Amino acid sequence: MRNGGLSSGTLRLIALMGVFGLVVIFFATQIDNYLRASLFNRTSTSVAIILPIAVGQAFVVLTRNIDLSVGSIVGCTAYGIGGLLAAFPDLPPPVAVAAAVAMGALFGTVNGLLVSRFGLPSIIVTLGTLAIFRSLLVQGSGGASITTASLPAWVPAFAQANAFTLGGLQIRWMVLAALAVTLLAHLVLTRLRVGRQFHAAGSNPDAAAFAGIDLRATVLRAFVISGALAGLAGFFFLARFGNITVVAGLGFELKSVGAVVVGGVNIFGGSGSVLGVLMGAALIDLIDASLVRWPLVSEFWREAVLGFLILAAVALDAALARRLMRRRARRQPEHGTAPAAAPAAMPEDARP
Amino acid sequence: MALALFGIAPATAGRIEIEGRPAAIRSPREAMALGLAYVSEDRRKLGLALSESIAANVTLPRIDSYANRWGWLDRRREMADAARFAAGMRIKAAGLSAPVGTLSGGNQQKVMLAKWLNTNPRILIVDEPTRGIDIGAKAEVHRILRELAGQGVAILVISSDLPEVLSLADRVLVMREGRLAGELPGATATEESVMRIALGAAETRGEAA
Repeated sequence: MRNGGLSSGTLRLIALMGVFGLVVIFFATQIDNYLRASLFNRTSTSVAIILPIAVGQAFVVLTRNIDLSVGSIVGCTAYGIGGLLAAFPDLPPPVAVAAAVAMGALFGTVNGLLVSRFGLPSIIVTLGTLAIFRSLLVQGSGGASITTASLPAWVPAFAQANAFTLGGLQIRWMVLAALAVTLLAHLVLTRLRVGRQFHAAGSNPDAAAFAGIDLRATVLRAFVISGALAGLAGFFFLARFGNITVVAGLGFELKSVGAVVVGGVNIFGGSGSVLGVLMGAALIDLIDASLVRWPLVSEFWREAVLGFLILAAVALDAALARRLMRRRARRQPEHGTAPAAAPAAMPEDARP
Repeated sequence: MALALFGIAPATAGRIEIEGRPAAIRSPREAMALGLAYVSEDRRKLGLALSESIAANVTLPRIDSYANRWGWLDRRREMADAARFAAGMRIKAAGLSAPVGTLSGGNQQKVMLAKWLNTNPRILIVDEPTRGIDIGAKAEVHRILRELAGQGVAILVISSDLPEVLSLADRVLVMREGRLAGELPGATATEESVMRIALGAAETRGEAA
């Protein structure tokens, strides 16, 4: 990272930006009036919803797990907080947001305890809670919807509120908030002890346990973070759409896993960066928003395109990892560390 | 045995005494607090986080000591410590940020040693420290172990490499079928005398007490 050459993470970011640019150019030639500020405004607002979920998902994937219940958590919190605000319209906005995060964290705690205490595979646990949380929503709501009219005016206004505008580009508060969450997560993962624990637990759980890291607590933390951020996204979802039905948030598990994997987080745990996840989320929502307007392809192919992206990213990662290992193995054959040669091979910053 | 010693798997029998005092170890943290370090024979399984950097691996067992009250890591000190070990052990790598998985076996083994030496152990257990690494790295590892013993660290080398045992050990304990079969002083032990105990040819405790 610091000694010559780019790390694979940086390369991934550059590659994603390249792909992002190519996608923009491609659709610009295909769709009339494509490069408008409205494209940016709409895409950035949907990124603001998926990004917190994907960032939370990244924590879980880092620890070698997966959270398939995020879509249901988004639905439940959007509905729950919507109902709360309809009943208590005078609730201060920070309290409403905190309630959404807390509610999501509660769902995440259920997932985390089931996975970490009982050692159950997270894919099965969260597949189960995906269905259970959704059923709770359907039962609890009795099938009734939350409507924009029942919400205090500040809620839909928040989704439209601009922090500032750049030309015609509107930078919404919601987008800034999602970016701030991502930056915060980046700092947690790279600069804090807990971040190191997430990485170590995913990279080699046995070795991490041997080094004194509490695997259960680490996995539980990842699920709580995932739930809490899905809760935050639930609030954003409520603010953006206003009308919340029992299918709110459906499919976000696929989208969030897609953003994580396309963003270069290793699905087998241990490595990845949330900055990559940000690019992954942006790319997925850009393609999503563009396909709707692409006359050649029915918009019903959107899901298939997302699925294809995920498969391509995983296949690419596997191929790259194999090549990288082979090349490094060739460059560093198993020869002795001749004392005379070794110091020369050490980088500048490795010397005391 | 190592798992029991580190409090991960429960011991079936026996007790642990450190400097004459009985010790109950229920977790790796407690083991480390008692000054124990265990370098596993299995670098990939119990040893290293291969996708993590050299520095992150070296500092992992005592990551707490690099964090301030809010959990913020002092990365400069992490790098400095990793650099000290890398230089002292002549670890050959593209840099301290290089993922450990990109290193050769011998250098991975040295990172393992560095990782556990970073915990300042009083008792260092190394399990097959030179299995599968080349001759140059092997000599380095032996040099490091001798140096540590010279500094007063108690070192227990578990090895099936007889010449290695004979060249390193002050005392040779021979295990047969999971049990202690005999003990020899390192100065006079020969391949033959060790093998005789290992194969059960010599009754009771061998020729030395």
